[in-house]
Amino acid sequence: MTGSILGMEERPWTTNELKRLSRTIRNSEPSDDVANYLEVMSWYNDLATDIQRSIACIDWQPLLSMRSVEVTSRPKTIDTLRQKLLRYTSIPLPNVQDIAGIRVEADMNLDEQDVVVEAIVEQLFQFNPQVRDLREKPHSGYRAVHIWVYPFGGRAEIQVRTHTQGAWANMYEAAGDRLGRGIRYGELPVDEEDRGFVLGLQKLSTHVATRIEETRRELDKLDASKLQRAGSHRRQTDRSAMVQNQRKLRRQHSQAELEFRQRLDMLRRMFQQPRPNG
Amino acid sequence: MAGYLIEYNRRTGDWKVQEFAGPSGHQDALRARLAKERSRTDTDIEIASINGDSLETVKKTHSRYFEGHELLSA
Repeated sequence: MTGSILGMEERPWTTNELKRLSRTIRNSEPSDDVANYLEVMSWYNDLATDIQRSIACIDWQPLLSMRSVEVTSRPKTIDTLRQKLLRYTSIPLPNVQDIAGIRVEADMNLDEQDVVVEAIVEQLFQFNPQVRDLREKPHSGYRAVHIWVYPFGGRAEIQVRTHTQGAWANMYEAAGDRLGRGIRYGELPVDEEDRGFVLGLQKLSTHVATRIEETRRELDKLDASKLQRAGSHRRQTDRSAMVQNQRKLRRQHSQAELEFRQRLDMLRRMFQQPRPNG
Repeated sequence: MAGYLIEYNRRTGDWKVQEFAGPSGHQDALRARLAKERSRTDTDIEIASINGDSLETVKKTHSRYFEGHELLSA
């Protein structure tokens, strides 16, 4: 593997040591435990960064032409780690998939997203990558493709998103900050207005974002087929049907993009208003 | 790899960011994050460290932290 994960050693803590750390994190602020919190987080941070470097080494040009690919990583924050350990009490820290998290985003259509996922899987094949496609069956509206890997006795999650999926996911997380992170796990706010708001946000992903991406895929396919057949003598009726279809798709795509952008702008303005205390 | 320490107020959306440049920037950012976690008194403040080639990239993949107003670092 080129640009492979360098310098990582096997996870130096036993599962039982990490289980004890899980209990400490659940109950209070982490202190000097059997497995030191700082050292554990540093190990996962290095793991995330090395995977990030390895992904950034992939030659994206043949896959995405000149478009850039954004790759970042992070170790899970203490708040979200504690929330996850409290929510899933049977899952100890070493089994939390996304303590080391990597995000990969690009301006790409759904087919290109598949190709990007395949390239990452190939790059990290030695870490037993498992693909979870959340586009067909979104989780509370969340759409993306996740790749789970198991390097050096640890775990990491790579989230591969189109810009549309990324913009929605970030806005939904911001909504979770206001209305409770439970909305990420299928819970709905008790307040009727807030509930409607969350359901509307989910629909924005499952209906509008999906429409943007599906029409884009169709348009890109038509463009490719137009290029392939540029030199052929197609019947006039075929050509006009294709042009009409293309126009229709462009119109649907623009409408969906406009609706998506307007809704996100509206939410952005709403979130910039300070929330009252309590 | 550069690291970025982000302090984000979940209630107001206000945020501030500090860059840790250089090959060990991601480790420095995490150490700074853990120190801030220990002294944190307001649980509405989320403290994150994100690693990336530039702040612009981090702002794209983690835009949630940057929707509100930027507070100038002391």
